[in-house]
Amino acid sequence: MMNCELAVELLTGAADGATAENRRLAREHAAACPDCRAVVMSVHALRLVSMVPTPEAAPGAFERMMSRVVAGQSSAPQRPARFWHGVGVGAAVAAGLAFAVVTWLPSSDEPTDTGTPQLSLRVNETRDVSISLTTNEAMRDAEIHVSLNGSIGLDGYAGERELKWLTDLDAGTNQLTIPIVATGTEGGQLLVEVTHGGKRRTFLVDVQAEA
Amino acid sequence: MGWMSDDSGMARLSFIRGGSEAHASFEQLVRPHYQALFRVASRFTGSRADAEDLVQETCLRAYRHIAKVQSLENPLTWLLCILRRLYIDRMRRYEQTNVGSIDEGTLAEIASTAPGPAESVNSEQVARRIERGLRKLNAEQRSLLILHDVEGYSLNELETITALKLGTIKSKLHRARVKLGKMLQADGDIAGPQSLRRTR
Repeated sequence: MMNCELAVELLTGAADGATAENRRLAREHAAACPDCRAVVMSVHALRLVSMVPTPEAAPGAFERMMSRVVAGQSSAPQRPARFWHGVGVGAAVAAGLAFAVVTWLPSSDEPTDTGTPQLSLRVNETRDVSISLTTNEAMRDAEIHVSLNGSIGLDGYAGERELKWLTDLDAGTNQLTIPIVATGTEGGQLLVEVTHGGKRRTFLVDVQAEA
Repeated sequence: MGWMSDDSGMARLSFIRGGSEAHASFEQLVRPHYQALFRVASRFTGSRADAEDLVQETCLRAYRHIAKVQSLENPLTWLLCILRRLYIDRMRRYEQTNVGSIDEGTLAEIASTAPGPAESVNSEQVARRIERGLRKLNAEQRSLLILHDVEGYSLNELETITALKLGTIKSKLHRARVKLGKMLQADGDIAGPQSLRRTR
């Protein structure tokens, strides 16, 4: 007894080593199976579509795309490469909208407030918050810890309020982009900690929300 | 609390590492695949301008994950994953905010101006009818058919592009083909010869 999958493969030329007898059985199967007939018609029809050529991308399209990619980065202010050595300096970077704040925590758990930037959102509005880390040397296995408090969330993370992972940082500017959504009018705070070799940097953003 | 050993699975929260070196590296990785991305985007959108826009957005998203791109054996399928997801999201938003028919980009709009074989005129007329049928499917079904049956991406490649299991892909493909085929049957017999071959 021939099944639908095999019948379709035989009738669309997708089956290897098909015999005339197999094809005859497939035709018999399709004659009694409306779905198989529809599938075969569909496959043949879409082969016709594949024969219609598509245009090449317009001249310069790739370069325009790359310019946009670079522009998304180039708005970042060039900071001195002292992320791990200086006294907390923050930097805002922006693809669209971005913030960054650095407060330096020598050892305590309390962030030092060096002027916390604020982000205003409407409830249910999402924006990307970007933070740049500039370092003069590559760092392996830096630990990134993102946590939220208050009525904000990570868009697309199904209620996750805390994320932690290891990553390698390249020498130069590294950008972290975080999709923040306001879930209520109370607002909240986004805290990002980067730890490497016993040193830690803390980035803090206040998020205010309005209905 | 989520713990991740690397950037994998970080759908939107991402690191962009490095500066100009990262740009150069990204350009080197993406350039070989740009036309393939553009071709699929053209099939999806039916418009050169929309296709360019979709590919641009795809690359912007991909750049946030450049470390991941650099580690991939086949960046194209991963880029197509982003492109397809963006396309489906856009179409869903569009369909939620627009009542009535979706603009039916025709194949005539996306067809190259390069002269084709003599039979291409008839083929294109038929293809336009097929395209109208495709436009009546939802974006997910349409994208699967275009990727597999039009552009020729294998089921294994679709696993990466869609992040779906093989069985799920087969099932979705089957349903999409049945739906399209029945629409085409209702529209008249336009089945093409079995000798036609894919272009890819």
